[in-house]
Amino acid sequence: MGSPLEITAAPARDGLLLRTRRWMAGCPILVGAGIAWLLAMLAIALSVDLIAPYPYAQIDLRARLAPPAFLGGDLRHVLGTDELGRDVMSRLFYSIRMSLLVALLGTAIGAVIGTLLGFVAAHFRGWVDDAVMVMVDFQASMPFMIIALSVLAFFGNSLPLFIALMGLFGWERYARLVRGMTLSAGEHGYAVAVRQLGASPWRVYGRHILPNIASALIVNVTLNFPEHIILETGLSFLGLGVQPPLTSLGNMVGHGREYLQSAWWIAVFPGVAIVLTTLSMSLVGDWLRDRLDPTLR
Amino acid sequence: MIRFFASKLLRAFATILFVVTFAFLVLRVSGDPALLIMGAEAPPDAIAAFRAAWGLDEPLWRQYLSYFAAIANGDLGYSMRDRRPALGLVLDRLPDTLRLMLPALAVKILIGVPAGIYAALHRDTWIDRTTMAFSVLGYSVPNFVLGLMLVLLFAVNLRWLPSGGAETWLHTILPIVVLGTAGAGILARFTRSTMLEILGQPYIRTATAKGVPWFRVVSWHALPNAAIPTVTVIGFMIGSLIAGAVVTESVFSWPGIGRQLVVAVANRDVAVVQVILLFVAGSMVVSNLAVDFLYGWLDPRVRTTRGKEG
Amino acid sequence: MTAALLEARNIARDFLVRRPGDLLGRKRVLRAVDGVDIVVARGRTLGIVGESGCGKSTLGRLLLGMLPPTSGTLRFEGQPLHAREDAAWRRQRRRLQMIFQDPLGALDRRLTLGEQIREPLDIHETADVQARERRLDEMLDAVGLSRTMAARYPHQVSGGQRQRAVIARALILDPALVVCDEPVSALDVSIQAQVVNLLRELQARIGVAYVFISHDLKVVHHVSHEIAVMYLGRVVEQGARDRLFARPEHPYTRALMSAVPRPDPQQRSRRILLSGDPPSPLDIPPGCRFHTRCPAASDLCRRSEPALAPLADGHRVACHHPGRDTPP
Repeated sequence: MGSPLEITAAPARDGLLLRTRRWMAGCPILVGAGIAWLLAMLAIALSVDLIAPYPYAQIDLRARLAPPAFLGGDLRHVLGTDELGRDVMSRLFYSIRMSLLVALLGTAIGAVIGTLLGFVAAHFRGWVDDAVMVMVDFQASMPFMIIALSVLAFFGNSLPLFIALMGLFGWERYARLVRGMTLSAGEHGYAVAVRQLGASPWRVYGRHILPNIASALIVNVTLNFPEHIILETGLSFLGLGVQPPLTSLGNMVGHGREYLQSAWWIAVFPGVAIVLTTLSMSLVGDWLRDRLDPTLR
Repeated sequence: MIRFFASKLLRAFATILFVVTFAFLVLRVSGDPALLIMGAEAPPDAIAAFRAAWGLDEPLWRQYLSYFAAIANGDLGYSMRDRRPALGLVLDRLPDTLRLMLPALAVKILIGVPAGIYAALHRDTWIDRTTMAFSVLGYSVPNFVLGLMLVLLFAVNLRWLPSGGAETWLHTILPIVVLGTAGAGILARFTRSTMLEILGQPYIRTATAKGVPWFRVVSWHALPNAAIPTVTVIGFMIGSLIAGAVVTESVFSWPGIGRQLVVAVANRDVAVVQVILLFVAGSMVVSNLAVDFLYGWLDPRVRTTRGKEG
Repeated sequence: MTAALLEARNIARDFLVRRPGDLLGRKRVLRAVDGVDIVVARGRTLGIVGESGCGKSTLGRLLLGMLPPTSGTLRFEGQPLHAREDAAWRRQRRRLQMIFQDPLGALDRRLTLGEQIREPLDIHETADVQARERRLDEMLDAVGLSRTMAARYPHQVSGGQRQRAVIARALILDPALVVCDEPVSALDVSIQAQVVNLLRELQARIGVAYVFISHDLKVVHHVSHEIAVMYLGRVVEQGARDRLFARPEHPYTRALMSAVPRPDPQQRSRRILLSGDPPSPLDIPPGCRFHTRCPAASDLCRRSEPALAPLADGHRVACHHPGRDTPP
């Protein structure tokens, strides 16, 4: 960006807003709703300290198991309270932040590791490539849930370790994708051309190959992200993910399950938040895939 | 031909080796295996005996070899909770897990595959869209959320079904529904896209253009070709049965391997975790191998043309 | 005659190949280029012709230092030619460039033509940015592309314009040698002549040398000063263009030439048909490697392989019975 030549390329460059609007045209209602929901989740996650009515751990024993306002409950606790009188809406907001944070970090770490290893495998070929592919095969053939549980059993749990573990989930798909696309670009084509001009590997990968495979990577990210949410909330539901006093959507569901008979709202609101988030991301991801990369299915 | 199978076997063996090495290394890094496997409150003489038996004072490579030898002899350590051999504990739970997983697998296949084929043949009808909507739900609704919603509806509100436990066949309905719907959605989507791809192939168009009846085109040309990739996915599902049981068994307090794994992880009962890890790896490898062999048998091209990329 | 720019002595290149899907299978050696001597003079063009699979593209990559030879030596401008990607190799890239068969594949579809033509200058940081821009403008003029073309993306321009951009990119650093691998065979026939003429014109202007690889004898005849004919990894005949076209000696060359349509019906020679496909480079026939398809093969040809040897006039041919179309 910003080189003098880019300026002369102006005809293709309208305002960002206009281009976004044109690009979004023909986007189905469901996808639009999905995007809106995801933006709302993001807004909650970013502003939770301002909008949450109570601190997430504030206990109010006099208001235990209060029902939501629309079921005749108190307006002070719009979505009710749990068995310690903690405000469900506040906890929900903080949980949304935690779950999004863990899933986003995990997705990002996985994408970066996988992309780098894919480049490394394609660049060095030979035994390096073989070694990376053996790891890819291993990772792809073992259900990640089991790997995650074994690591947690052996090493115990802490938030940094948990996030690092989430980062290992899904890297193999990026590695496979990037390796394949880099190899095919390197066989014949612009990568060879630029390499023989004397470009350093950094330039070949960073300036040429990465922008060319970016759309496939973005599609992969959107498909990977909901799986991260499901994995994180699943592990937290089992009590093996995010640990109290911190809270995540999975924790809330797991914990609210004890009170399903007397106070269903503790588990149901976070459950609905999980489903709507993963569903929105899947819809947006499928739509993006059709838009950006019709060859993947 | 023999070479194809031999190289597959070699690969399967390598995976097992990888898992065992992973378990060994992780055990060695994460702390004193004697304490971890025997438990911190084990009597000191038992720990000393354990150390001598496993040769923990020997060099690492010797330990690695004896670790293999022990595993080969079925000696997988003791659970730190009730001091029983970990292998026996896990085997005790296996029938209960299978009682849940095999019917669930049948549901996935019996609903998912026909739904996918039907959706592909009636593309863009409302049935196709409904099937796809269900499959997106199957992808994006986590098992534990679906399970709890069903419990809330059928057990808490309607009181038709029990919410957890494993006493009668009624207890199996909700877990099977949860496991079955998610898997059926995934399988339907995969079968549909495979079928669509094959229906777009030139040989199908040729057969149709020649005047072969549509029913025969589908049953004779399309289905056998769609079967091959579908079998792979089903193979992966069989291999990951135990892994899939983890969350669902916990939701319904089902006394199977999945629940056992969660409890073992929470208690850091590494011997039991290790046995289950090997179990899962074994089942993945065996099912992958079975799929590969089936491939070689169904599709002679595979034996000669499938390269490293395949 | 000017001094040698690039000198290849007895270079060979093997590839290890393995049957796909067969992890345990034995690897076999495929010798794609087998003992080739080549000299390229400054400012001249060496044409290399042969059927597909004869090793001419591998030879091109060897001459360029994109692929290390298994054996033999290469010298470029008096220095050993580097083939490992290091700083010395990168410096040598400024003097050695390549033009590809498929200009759309050789260009990055996400960058404008101008950015890509200028890229060699950016990579080697030749001068300040204004000087690079001026150089870009000169180069655009030289290959006949307008400034507005430079702002377009590869898919927005025609095949001929893309190849002009590739040529501009190859020449912008003022290299001494450019290897052109089938530079026009992906283009329409009407465009081919324009591009070939452009290459010749640029050579006359800036004195660059070309190695011009093609299966198309007509095009090679048009651009080359000297021509080497390759068959199954070896040069079987080599000499000055006019000598080669006037009196081809190797039966393989004669067969290739007889397949070229001539405008003058008087000149039309008898068509020599080769039997069968070229043998696989994995099973090179013993004796003369061409004897399985040669109309003039004798027992001697089946037993011993002829060396590439000069005739009285310095024209070189690897044949026991040069100039014949029937067995002796």
